[in-house]
Amino acid sequence: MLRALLFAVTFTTLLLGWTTLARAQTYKVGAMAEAVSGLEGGTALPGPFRRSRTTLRIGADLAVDEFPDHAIAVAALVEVEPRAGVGFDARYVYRLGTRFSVGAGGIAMIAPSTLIGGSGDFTIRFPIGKVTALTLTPAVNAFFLGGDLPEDTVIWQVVLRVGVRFNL
Amino acid sequence: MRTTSSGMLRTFIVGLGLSAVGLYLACSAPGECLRHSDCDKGLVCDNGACIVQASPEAGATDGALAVDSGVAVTPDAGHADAGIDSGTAADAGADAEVDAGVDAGEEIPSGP
Repeated sequence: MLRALLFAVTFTTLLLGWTTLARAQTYKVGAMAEAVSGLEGGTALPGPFRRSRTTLRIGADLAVDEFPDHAIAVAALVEVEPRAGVGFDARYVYRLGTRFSVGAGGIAMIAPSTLIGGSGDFTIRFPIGKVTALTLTPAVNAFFLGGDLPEDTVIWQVVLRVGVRFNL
Repeated sequence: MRTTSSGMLRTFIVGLGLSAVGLYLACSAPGECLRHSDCDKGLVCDNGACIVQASPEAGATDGALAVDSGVAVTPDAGHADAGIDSGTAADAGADAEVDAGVDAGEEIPSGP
């Protein structure tokens, strides 16, 4: 009985402490819109590379004030030319100071067919106000899974993302 | 001296940027496929070329499918081309079936 009481008190104390800690946290949210294009190639392509599809990327990132240098970012991808497609990416982002950040994560196209891979990037921010910044992001993608991929093919992309980011 | 270095760096960066833009524009006419979705409907990407998808339901024999595989269609080709190719495939399939029928007929021994 005593053991149960001690367990209940300890559990409640920990829960209250965690709740208080969680309540003290504030989230830092950012929104971004970018245009993406670059070069791509693959083992099935006769030439060395070609221009990749022009893509619009609209997303958001989330960080906690206790760990402002670490963020999770998700974005919707819309391929607009020369062919249309829809997908998304999710990345872990680590900020290097106020102007730079690096990110790594997964990227997937879901329509008209699936294409799944990994992505890495390096972002440079050019602040143009308290909440707004222009962003320039060289990124590397590699697709190695999915129904849109021909047999025994890996597709690589070296792209440049140009856009704007807002601190919300 | 510092101004000269700065000018050289700026020239280098501008040159690098122009080279990148030139490279990008040189690659701006995709003539091959890299993904199945680069091709028109009904075609698939195989070794960088869009080809007619071999469908078992079409009833075509292996000979007909081989004819299909030899027909390469660029990703920029319109649906009209795809239609022509499909027609070719259908013809090839029909021919193959006729041939098969003739062959089968020839193999039947004719009695007295």
